[in-house]
Amino acid sequence: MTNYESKLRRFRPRPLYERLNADLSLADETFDSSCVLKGASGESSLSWPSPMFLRQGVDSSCSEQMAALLGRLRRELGVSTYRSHDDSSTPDSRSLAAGIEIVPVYVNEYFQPATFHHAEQIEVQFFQGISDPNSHASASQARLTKTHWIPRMPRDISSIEQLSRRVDMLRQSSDQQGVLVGAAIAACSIYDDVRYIIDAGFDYVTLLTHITGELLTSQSLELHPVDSAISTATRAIQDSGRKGFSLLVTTPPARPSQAIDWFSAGVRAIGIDAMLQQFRPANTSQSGDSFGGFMGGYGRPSASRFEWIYDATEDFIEGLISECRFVGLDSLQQLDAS
Amino acid sequence: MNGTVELSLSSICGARLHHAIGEVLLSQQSRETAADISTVAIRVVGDGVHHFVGVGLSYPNHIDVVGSVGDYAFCGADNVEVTIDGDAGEFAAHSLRSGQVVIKGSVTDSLGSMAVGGLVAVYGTAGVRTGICLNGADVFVRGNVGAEAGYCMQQGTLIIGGNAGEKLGRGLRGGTIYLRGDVVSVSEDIEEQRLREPDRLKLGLLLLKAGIKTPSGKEFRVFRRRLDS
Repeated sequence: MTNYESKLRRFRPRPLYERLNADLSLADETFDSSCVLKGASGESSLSWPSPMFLRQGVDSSCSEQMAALLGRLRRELGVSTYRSHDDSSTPDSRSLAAGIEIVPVYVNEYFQPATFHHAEQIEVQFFQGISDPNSHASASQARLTKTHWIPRMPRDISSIEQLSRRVDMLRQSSDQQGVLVGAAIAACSIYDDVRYIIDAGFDYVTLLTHITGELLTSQSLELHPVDSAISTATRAIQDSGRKGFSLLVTTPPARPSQAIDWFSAGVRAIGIDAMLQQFRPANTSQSGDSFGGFMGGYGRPSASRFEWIYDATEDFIEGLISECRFVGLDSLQQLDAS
Repeated sequence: MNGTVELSLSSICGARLHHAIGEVLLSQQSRETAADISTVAIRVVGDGVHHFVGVGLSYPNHIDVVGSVGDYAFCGADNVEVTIDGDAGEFAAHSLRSGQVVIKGSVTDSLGSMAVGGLVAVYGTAGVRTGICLNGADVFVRGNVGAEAGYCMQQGTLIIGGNAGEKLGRGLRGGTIYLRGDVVSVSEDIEEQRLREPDRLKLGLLLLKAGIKTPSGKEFRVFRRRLDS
């Protein structure tokens, strides 16, 4: 078992002498906060409007109101979200103007290719599925124990060649040219797992370092320190020699300046569930979470229960852009080259 | 019957077959407005072995594939009636949801993996781990199957008309295996039980559905999960 650990490379802000020719009107221009995920072949790529994603709805249950909010976050703020496990609808078409919706596929559950006929991004979840008969996944508490996140290979796969063929099958199951197929895995044996995922032909890996329960609660679970996970994963990517392989991570509650360090270290996009959770209003709790929460929610318009999530996301994006300008970045894609 | 439409397999593997059939049926409907397009038969002609044929297909029309297909043929197909006039590769009818897939030739490994509904019938032989993680569908193989048939099966029925290889039913948690021939070894997870009348009835119906005309079922042995396991 190999386990390389190294320190995270920190971002170096642009010094004053390098800002001599900086355009003073820059602050008035629209900041380019997009990021690009590249495919394994190097030919396909997918541009995300913003380098952020939310795993609500895939790591936790998703009510209709939450689904509506996730749709708004995608469309209006460019935050990528996952299709809910409960959503088995088969949309007639997909428009990128509606934002990026990632379709999750669990390793030990049967496929429903009809649900990803038009998917632009498919992600294999290397842990037990929601409907696994041996799982107690319906209980949100069970998802906040490490047992739920034990990395698992598909039971019907016995070699990396077979896994690679399955990745090809998933690519072929969407009618979108250059669909990206990624892998989500709990941060455990990071170096070896990332190398394996690269060798199997995936386009990117989502490393789960921090699991967040439903945003209306304060429940969370740390699987691995995020800085160490990022440095180990980026080393694995460098050692593999694969150009363009993208690293996505779920992060603990953090400040925008920390996010810049992660992007600078090679992370393409971050999961911001935990960051949003820290902005949860004190009087907001899920129905059933406590008696006080139930009484507190009584008589209040239900849609507003989630409005703070939208506001917190908007604030975080503004904070990140402000931080980027402060340290001298014109776009987030500049960090790829640094 | 509104006739047969022919498609070439050369450029329509994967999800594209679903869309190609959709377009053909739409144009057929626009030509004959009163026509019931569900009765239009589709004939898919292959030119070499293509992988991922018919992934996610969901049309009730009879689809006849002329020639062999590669891996993951008709994976996740729903409400289909397919006949393949040739062989199929690994993971044929993986995650099949409903309908019927008949393969007149032989298949390689992991036939019917994770299939949740419908019937998969193979008239030739099958490779290792036939019916792996089977989750509700019925799988019939007329000839021999390789090792570990019924591996980690959850529910459903696996009917083996020939002989079975080593470790039959390894890791089986549910469902039924019917075996007509000999077996190299039976795993400790399953045990042979007496063939009862409901078994004979079920076998007869499934064999008839699979197109087998001698459905007495008497020569079969039945295996289920060991009760003390």
